[in-house]
Amino acid sequence: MTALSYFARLQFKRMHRTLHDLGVNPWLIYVSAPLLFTGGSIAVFSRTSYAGWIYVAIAAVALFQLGKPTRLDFLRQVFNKPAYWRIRILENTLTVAPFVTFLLFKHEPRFALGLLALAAATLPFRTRPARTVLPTPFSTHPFEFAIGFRNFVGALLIAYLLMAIGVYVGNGQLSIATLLLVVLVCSNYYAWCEPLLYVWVYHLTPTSFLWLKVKTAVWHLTIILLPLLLMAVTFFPGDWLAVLAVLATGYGFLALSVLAKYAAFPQGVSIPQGILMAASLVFPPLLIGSIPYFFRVAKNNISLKI
Amino acid sequence: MNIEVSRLTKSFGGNEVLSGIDLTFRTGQVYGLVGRNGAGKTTLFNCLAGMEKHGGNVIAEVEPLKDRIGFLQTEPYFPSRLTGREYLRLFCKARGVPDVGLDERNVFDLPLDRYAQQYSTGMKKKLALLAILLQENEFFILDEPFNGVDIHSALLITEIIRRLKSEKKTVLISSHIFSTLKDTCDVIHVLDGGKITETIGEEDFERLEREMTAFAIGNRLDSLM
Repeated sequence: MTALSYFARLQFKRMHRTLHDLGVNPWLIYVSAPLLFTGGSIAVFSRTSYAGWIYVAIAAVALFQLGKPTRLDFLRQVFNKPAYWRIRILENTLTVAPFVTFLLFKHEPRFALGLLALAAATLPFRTRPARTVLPTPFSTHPFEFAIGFRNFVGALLIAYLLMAIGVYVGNGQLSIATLLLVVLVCSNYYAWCEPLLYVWVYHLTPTSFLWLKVKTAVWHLTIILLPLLLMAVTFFPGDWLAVLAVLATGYGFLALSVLAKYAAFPQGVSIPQGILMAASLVFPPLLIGSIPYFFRVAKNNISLKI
Repeated sequence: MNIEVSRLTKSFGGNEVLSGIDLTFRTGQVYGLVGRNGAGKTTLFNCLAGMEKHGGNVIAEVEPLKDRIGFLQTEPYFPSRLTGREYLRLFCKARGVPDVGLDERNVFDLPLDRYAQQYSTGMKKKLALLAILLQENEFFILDEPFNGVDIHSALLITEIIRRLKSEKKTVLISSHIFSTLKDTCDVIHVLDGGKITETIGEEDFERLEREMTAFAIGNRLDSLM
């Protein structure tokens, strides 16, 4: 077996183990993923004329993920130059292949070619670790929002830009959707699990610890959300009920994200838990049940570690 | 702080890593722990810190012990895009101690406003050590505190350990550099096969070093070189 084929087998094994550890039968994913991808693609293409661009954006994010420096350094260290480039070409091709196939099926050859060009162009691409420290208003109460803000500052800038566009074109729905976007971005700060030491070190009871985490999250979200909120209620006062509903759902979902993280800690949130979270976001009254549920699980889980 | 460890056991599946550890730690004493790679030193530290479930008992003079332990891990972990200053603040806030005067107390001259993940190995170690010193703990577990640090910092860490002793703190250290243990410890425990096989006072440190050298090197290089 060549080093390349062994590497490919290892990658498959790693993926298999990751899915298994997420609490789902990997074969279920292998069968359902193509179906979900096809179904999702049909839904996207039937709803918007910008589907091609959305596709390119999703594929670009995936390609940039493959360009992380630690990963590339590892590949360079292990393989010789020809093998390194073969792996990079293979990975990028496999990443864009489903998108290209569907674009061709939808008679969008320009987007398909563009995506292949992007895959080729990002081959020598290497994301650089941040050198300059981005100041944040969350530095005094580390760490989730301080890190999340720095990692996803681009998403927040886009949200602020969308709010400005919404106000400019007088689109209240866009402005309100922007509030929800910010909530989702900030909730995502809790998708990453810190090492056990970062929980162990607290001199708090599990309930106090969880309360502190939720309180900090709510306060920090308010700092980010407040300017947007003021703009929304100032320019679209007639939509105050919708704003209120989004806020209630948003803060509830943020609290849920914090609690879900510690319910699953130190592992990531499992797929069934993720489905419950998604259902609570889509149907917010579920939060009344899911928040106490995740709180109870998190409290019991953390009491073993804190 | 006095701590009594009795019949401490730890298994991972069917693999027993620690089998019946009995130890006593007294206030103001510095203890060393030596053992080969895989002997169970880090597992023992994790058990003492309460980060691993275990059999047997760890009874401290003041409970809960975990809130009075400063635990320096072998390879401290730092999330990306977290500055040194934020790391120190986090550790202070976690224990409810003031997070003021960090610059004055930055004895290692660390660049606190840079991302900790960009620090060198030695700087990371010093940052993690500084964090647990700021927490004003009573019991310190230092797993390889001299790893990767420069000569000046090693001298400073040695002096810090001596200062902790004079301030009646209890310290437990593991180090692969025997001279650092010899310079700082009152007692050295030898961990082998999941058991404490020897407990040695200062008067026998030289003998222990000779025995370890003989065991580690012996004639095993003859087959290689």
